[in-house]
Amino acid sequence: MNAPYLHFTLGPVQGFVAQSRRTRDLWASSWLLSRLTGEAMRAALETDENSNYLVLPHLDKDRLLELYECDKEHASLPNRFVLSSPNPAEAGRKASEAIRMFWKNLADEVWNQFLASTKADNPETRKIWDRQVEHFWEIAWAIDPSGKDFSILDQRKNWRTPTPTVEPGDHCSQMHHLQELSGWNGGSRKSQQEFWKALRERPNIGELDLDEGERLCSIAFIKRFFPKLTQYKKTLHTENWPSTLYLAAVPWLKAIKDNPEIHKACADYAQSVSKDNPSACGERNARINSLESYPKELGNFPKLDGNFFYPRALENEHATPLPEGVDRRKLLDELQKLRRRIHETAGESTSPFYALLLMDGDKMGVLLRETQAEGKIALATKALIEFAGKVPEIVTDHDGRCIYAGGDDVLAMLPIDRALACASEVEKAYRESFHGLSAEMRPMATLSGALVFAHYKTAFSTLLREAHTYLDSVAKDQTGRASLAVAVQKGSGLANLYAAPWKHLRGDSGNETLTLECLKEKMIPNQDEGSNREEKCTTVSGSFLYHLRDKLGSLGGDTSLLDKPGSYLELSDPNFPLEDFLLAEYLVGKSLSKKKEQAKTQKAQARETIQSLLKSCRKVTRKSDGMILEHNGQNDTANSFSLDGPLVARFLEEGGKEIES
Amino acid sequence: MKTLHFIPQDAWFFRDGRPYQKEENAQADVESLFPPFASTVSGAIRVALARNAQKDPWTCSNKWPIELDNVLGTETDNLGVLQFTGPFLHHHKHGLLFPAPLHLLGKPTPDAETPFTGLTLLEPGEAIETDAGSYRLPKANPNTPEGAKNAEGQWITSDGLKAILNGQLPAERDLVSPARLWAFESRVGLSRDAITHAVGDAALYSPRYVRLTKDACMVFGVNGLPKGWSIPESFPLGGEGRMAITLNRDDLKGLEIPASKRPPQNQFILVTLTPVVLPRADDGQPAWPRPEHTFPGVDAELLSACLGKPLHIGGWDSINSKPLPLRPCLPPGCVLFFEGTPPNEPTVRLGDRTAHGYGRCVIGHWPIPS
Repeated sequence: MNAPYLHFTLGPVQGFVAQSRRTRDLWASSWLLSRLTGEAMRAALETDENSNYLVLPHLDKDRLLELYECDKEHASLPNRFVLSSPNPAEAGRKASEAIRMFWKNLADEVWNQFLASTKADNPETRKIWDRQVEHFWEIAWAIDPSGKDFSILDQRKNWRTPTPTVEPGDHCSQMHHLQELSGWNGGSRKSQQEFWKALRERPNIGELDLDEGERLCSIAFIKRFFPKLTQYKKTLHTENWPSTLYLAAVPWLKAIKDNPEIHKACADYAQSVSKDNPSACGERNARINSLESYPKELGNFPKLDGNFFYPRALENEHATPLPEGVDRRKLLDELQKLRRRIHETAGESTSPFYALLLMDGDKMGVLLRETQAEGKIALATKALIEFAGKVPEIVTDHDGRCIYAGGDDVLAMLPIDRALACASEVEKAYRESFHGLSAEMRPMATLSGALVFAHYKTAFSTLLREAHTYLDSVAKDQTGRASLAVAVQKGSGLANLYAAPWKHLRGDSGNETLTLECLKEKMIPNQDEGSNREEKCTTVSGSFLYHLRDKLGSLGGDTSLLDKPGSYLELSDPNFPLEDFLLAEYLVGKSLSKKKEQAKTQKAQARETIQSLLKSCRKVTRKSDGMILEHNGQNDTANSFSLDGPLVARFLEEGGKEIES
Repeated sequence: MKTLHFIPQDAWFFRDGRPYQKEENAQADVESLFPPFASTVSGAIRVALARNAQKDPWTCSNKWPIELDNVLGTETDNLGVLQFTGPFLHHHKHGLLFPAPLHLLGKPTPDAETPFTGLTLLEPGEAIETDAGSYRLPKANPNTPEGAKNAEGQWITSDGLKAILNGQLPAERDLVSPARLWAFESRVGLSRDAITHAVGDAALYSPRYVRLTKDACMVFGVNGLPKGWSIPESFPLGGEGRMAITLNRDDLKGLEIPASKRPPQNQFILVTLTPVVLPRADDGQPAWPRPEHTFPGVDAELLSACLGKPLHIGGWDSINSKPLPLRPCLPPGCVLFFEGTPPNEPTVRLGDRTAHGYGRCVIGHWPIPS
């Protein structure tokens, strides 16, 4: 008979992580959650070291300590765990107490190092601090006496028991439902402004730590400042977290690296920027794989804060404050000249977009239950550990930074040029990690993902909320799991949303290169439109896609759906030969060779191009038995069409790059 | 009760408690709430009524003329003779819509017409030992399809809600996805000086407005409106003085909250249709419902519950020019399972600030075992 299981969870997770303003906050939130759960796991294990063991995640104490105490850049422990224990209630109580203790000590240390003996050290602020610190975390556990019911925590979550508090006054600019620490509550805002100004002027608070206009609650304050505590400062390297703008610039920086003739110009610009402004080198060690061996001739250029690569960011006095006396206009002129030169030499411009990758395992509860029933749960839980161990390296290899990889969950940030390949590689690693399962069980171990190409200014709260929607509603519920949803999130909102099962994205032969990437190769960049590339039968221009949108209007169905990201036009005639129609439209205006053989080859190329295009235009879903269903008017499906897939491919080709003026 | 139906003239913007001041980074991508808080709607209606009741134009300074106080009340939570219910929604095809109860589970589908299939209801299971004591946690029955989720965020028709209140399953077509009712749209705004029309530093902001679909409108009930008083055809509602248009069409149904057959003497459920503003306990903080929690006016023991994440409701006290405290609330759709005698009336008002429309709950049966 199994010993009882303790099912333990700590929250809030999504909200806590999403309420971040900087990449550093995002990472700190994940790290903190991981560390707190690590404390709980350790305490739970220690209540009876001989009998207790962790079922999920599958870790012994040594490995657990290794994961949460060492110098890990990314968070790796899930926010919930299952412990086998003869006395699970005692383990649950100790685990809860360990979290409270660690959190309280951390909060005290942040208070002592950053707020004690300042304007903040007053009874009102202390009252706010204590209230928020005491009530923030939602700790819940439940006991399964049978030791085999993995749904018990879901039951516990049906009846949430948070301890929310009344929060008067003005609210935190990051965690909006909590009061900001100055305690202002009506009347002149002078006292509030003075409170935050005094904090910004503290010697141990740098100018990048607290922006003008930021007013934080105790939780956001702890999140922002605990990495600067003496005991973490040396190991956590918070200054190494690249900004979103820096990540967006990575493809451009790589192109510069490969063109030695512009290195001196870049180094000179970096010298101009940093000579009177040492804090301009904000990215001292961004740890982007391809930039690790940046040539010395480039001087401080790769260390510059991302804002100094983008004219729009540099000309914004709020986004890029400069020390007094520094001539912003002169720097802007230098940057414009440099960018033009880089474009002429390396053919590359900056893009303001980067990628956020969010993935998680499908139907994990069912997988655990089924493997448990076969007595092979350890194979599944070990596979999860193996997978989580592989992810950071895959992300690093693709020039990204892993924020979280634990259990079946992944959160990472990447430059746009390698993001799709990275998602594909992570999915492959997931499947491979479950190689030990039986042939019947293996197909159940699938991973879904959401890859969002976001403008660097998109708030993390919006981005993560949207990414979770694309993952849960689009990739899983609508597409049928084992799928990837790819979205382009511009400043004006969602521009394109395309989702398909991995099997379809890889094609029949299980290619490593996804169909979207193949299609990307066929897209003609804006700058080449009207050139002879457009005349070829192997490429697709943007104007052709927009032409299609107009033409499809004549085929019936609700054509407004073509302008709604993630929606499909359903042609009124299920048998309408869409491929032939697209081919005919494609060939209009193309001057085919007068030589019969050559014209035949061109037509064959054209058909191949259209077939490749159509692969990303159809709605494709996965049935619960794993079969792929193409919605092409056959087998009771609608004759569907959308331009989202090709438009995502076009975005990947263009990368939202800025045109040099 | 008079039923009011509103649509936005263009789009609406309803803020939550986040700071929204010029020169602050928090104003990027501020999303509108929807539906708005009841106090936002009741406040806008009171101001609209005050404006309509005046022969001379009222300047809308922070206080309406004193002679209107008897009807409209005197401050944020003193609503005079008025009592509100809602807000709820109305769809041309489906009629009145209410937030779906959280004990309703189903498998999400990509089909907008039937957003959930394979519906089942959670019911209190056996007691389980937890961090907070021994709980009868709501449990899915064995018929629940794989991948089922609770219907949080979905809307349900009167018929569907009535079936649930009678302990039965609604039809799948009774659930209406929010995508069929409203959509958010991002815009970029540029604030200008009202007089000079000049644009200063940090004047760009990027709100997300809410736009109702062409078949949807918002519904709000008003009790106590004296004879001769009427709601104007259009009035400002929510942020940025955006306008609401009052509809007056024959196809729009009056607000009637569905009622179940009277539940048995020993077991009943309460479903929150609007947020319940939790009263403060002795320590000044709200008491979130736990086993054996009691509610004033409900003579029964709380045995189990399906509760969503807390909602935080605040606002702006325009008389005293200061923010109202953000107070935690039970969200709409929560289901409380009681053992004891059900209240006599089919609906009850729980918690604080009920005159605004908060705390409207409806009584029903425990799910009938399938």
